[in-house]
Amino acid sequence: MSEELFAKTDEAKSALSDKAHETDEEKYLIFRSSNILYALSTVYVIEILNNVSITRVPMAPDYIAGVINLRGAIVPIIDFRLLLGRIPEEESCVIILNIKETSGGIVVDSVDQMVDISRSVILPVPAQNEHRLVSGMCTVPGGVSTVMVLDGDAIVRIHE
Amino acid sequence: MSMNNDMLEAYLFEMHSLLEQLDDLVLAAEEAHTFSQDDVNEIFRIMHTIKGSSAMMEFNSLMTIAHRIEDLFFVIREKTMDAISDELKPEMFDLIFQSIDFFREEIEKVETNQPLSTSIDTFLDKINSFSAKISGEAEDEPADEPAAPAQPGSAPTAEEAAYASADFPYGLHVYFDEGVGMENLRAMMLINSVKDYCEESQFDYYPPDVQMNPETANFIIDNGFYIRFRTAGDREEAVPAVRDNGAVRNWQVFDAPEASPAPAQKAAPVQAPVAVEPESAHVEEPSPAPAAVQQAAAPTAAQQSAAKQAHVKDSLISVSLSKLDTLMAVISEIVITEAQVTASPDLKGLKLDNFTKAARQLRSLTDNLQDVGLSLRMVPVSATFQKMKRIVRDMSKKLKKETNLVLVGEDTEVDKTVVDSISDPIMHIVRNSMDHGIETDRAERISAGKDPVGKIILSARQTGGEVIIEVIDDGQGVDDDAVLNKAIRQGLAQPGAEYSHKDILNFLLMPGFSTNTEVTEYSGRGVGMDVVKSNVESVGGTVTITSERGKGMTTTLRIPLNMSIMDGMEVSVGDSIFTVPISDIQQIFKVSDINVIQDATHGEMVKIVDNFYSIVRAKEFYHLNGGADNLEDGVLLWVESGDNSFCLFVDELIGEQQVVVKPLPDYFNNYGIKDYGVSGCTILGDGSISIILDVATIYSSQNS
Repeated sequence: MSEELFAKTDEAKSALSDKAHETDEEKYLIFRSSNILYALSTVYVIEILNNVSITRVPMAPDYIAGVINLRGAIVPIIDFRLLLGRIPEEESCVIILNIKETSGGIVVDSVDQMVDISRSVILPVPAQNEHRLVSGMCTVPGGVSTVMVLDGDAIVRIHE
Repeated sequence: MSMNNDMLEAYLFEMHSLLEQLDDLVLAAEEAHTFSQDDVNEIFRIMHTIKGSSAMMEFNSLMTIAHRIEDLFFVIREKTMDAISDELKPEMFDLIFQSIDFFREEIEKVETNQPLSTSIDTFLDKINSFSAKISGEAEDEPADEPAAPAQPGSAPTAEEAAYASADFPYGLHVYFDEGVGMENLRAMMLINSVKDYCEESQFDYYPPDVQMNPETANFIIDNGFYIRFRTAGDREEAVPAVRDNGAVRNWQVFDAPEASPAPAQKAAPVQAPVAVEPESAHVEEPSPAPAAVQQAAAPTAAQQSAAKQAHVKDSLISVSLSKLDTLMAVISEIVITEAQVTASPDLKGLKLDNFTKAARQLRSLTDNLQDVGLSLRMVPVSATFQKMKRIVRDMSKKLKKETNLVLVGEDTEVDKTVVDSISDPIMHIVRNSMDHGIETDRAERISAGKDPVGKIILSARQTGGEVIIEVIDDGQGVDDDAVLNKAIRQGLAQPGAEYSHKDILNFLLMPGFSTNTEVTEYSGRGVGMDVVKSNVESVGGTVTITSERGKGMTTTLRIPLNMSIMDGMEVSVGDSIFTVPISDIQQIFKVSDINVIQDATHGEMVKIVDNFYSIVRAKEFYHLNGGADNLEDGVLLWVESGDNSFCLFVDELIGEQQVVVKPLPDYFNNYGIKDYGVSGCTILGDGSISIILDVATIYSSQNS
């Protein structure tokens, strides 16, 4: 009786771990900003825009590029390169995000690709290189380049 | 509170509107010193609804009080207001106002999730003792009430109809809950609900004089209450009324033939229908004759009131404000998109007759749509104004300053958000007028040649894009010296400096100013007119005060009709485009260097008519790149908003445009840019965004 019970829980356990394994992989959008690759979970990404005209908002900090008209909604845009203290390059595109019900966009140099990254391969950032926006780093599966994994929640909290 | 939220919301909405209705009604009635029969019916209906809904929501305190007031009005309804002597009337009005306040307090508790009152006994006692007074008085009423002769003419026939024949053979015998109280009235109510199912001529009841004679309560307690129907079918139909009545303990069906050889305790009631012969009927009845006469007349009156009570369901629905906001947002999008489509650069140089025609049609339709959309949010100010009646009434009683409130232009419509934000300011100003304006001493008013009764006029009117709301009192006006002294004491004014009458009045609007040395219940709580000012300014309005010593004071609120669409002037500075509200622009002009006056700190000024105004360069103020540096190369906008007036220097004018105001994303609240006059933006016809400059804020941040 009790053995049977154990067997069942074991079965459940393995099913659970299978499931966990499935959800362990998450889709990430890889983009390039000032020659560094960043990965951001696609749950945050709404769309990618090219050639948008951004209206500057006076008196806002430099890293706020301004606002855009996204189908009638006014959406704030942050220049990701200025946010990290880099000088923006000519080439740019805007990634529209929705983080915690807040819409916003970031200006980056270019969008690279979409990849699946397993949570288990994301490694912690060495303490000396820690950055408040970056939650970990990893090597792109099947590739050689290394990406910085961004913490989406931190992006909406940058003013703090 | 684990209650269904929708239900609670609906309940609160209903309660609020009922209480408002009740307040208006009682105020009007108090003015007339009596309730009309319609009023009584209406109050009865409202109390009934409050009782019912509160019971459903299990708010016992509300239910109990409503129930008692309902009972009270039931008595009044049956006896008419004549039954209440003049001495009792003020007490009655106070009692009803108290109960309205009680309901409000309880509702507030419901809204704030606090437990409801449990100790309502004192209030209940009050109502009960008042009920007793009325009932007591009414007992001798029929005897010395000369109103009775008015009816006797119709009495015999009505009586005949009610009692003439024995053809009400199908009976219901009803017992009420033990100790439920006022059994006779409950019987009457039961009869009223039976009327919903059955023609009044199709049944009668025993004792017949339940609504007039409180003694019948004892009979009903002992013997039960009898309802008799002409046909079995009617009885069948009326059963739900009896079954659903909360106070009925049990009931049974009986038929006349088997009822005649009734058991002893049934003898009296059963005798009545059998013994009654057409003409001599009421002689046999146990109750005194006058009561019978009144009884005959009463059902007809009751029937009439029942007919009136079947009030027309109004064709209004309540819609949540957020839905309207969404609708407005969509409409705004359509307006913008329409402009984008019809003025698309792709169409340049094409000859498109049909397209142009359709586009013109589309434009007029979107204009219509916009008007309709805006009108949906417009509500009359009457609800807000009506509330002031109550405040003036209460305060004139309490402060013993007899004052009339005159309402003018109550049906003026303004945007819902505007109504919400002016409600408190108006209340504050009215209280101020009552407290500080109207003289405490009647003799003072008489010697000043004024009507001994004070007067406050609350008026609303619409002019162009603004609503003007004025509170005018004919009190003692503002004492300039007293205000100035106070301002000096508060450190708002410099001793020895000269201040004009207008300057002194402006002190009243400053934070922390309150002229009354004593704090009263109503005003002088440390918050004052400055709150009024900031509330009104939050909806883009302004406050001004004028006053003449001894004649009174006028407070004027000017509020833009609606805030979401406005006329704007597009201006450019470098490659940025800004929108300045046209309503803020006084004049646009070019200036030559010789007219610009420099001060020691490199500030610039320009003289317009008789005054000097400082120049604010948009480029420097906002640290913009590009744009003209030489004043002669650009234009000056002389802008004025509230008390602030200055000249804004920009590169050039682009044009005038009607724009839809959109707030900047909340995200920007973190950077305090609102303090620099950047609070909103708008989408231009070509889809680009223009920042709207809030002139009043630019000025204050320039100065700080």
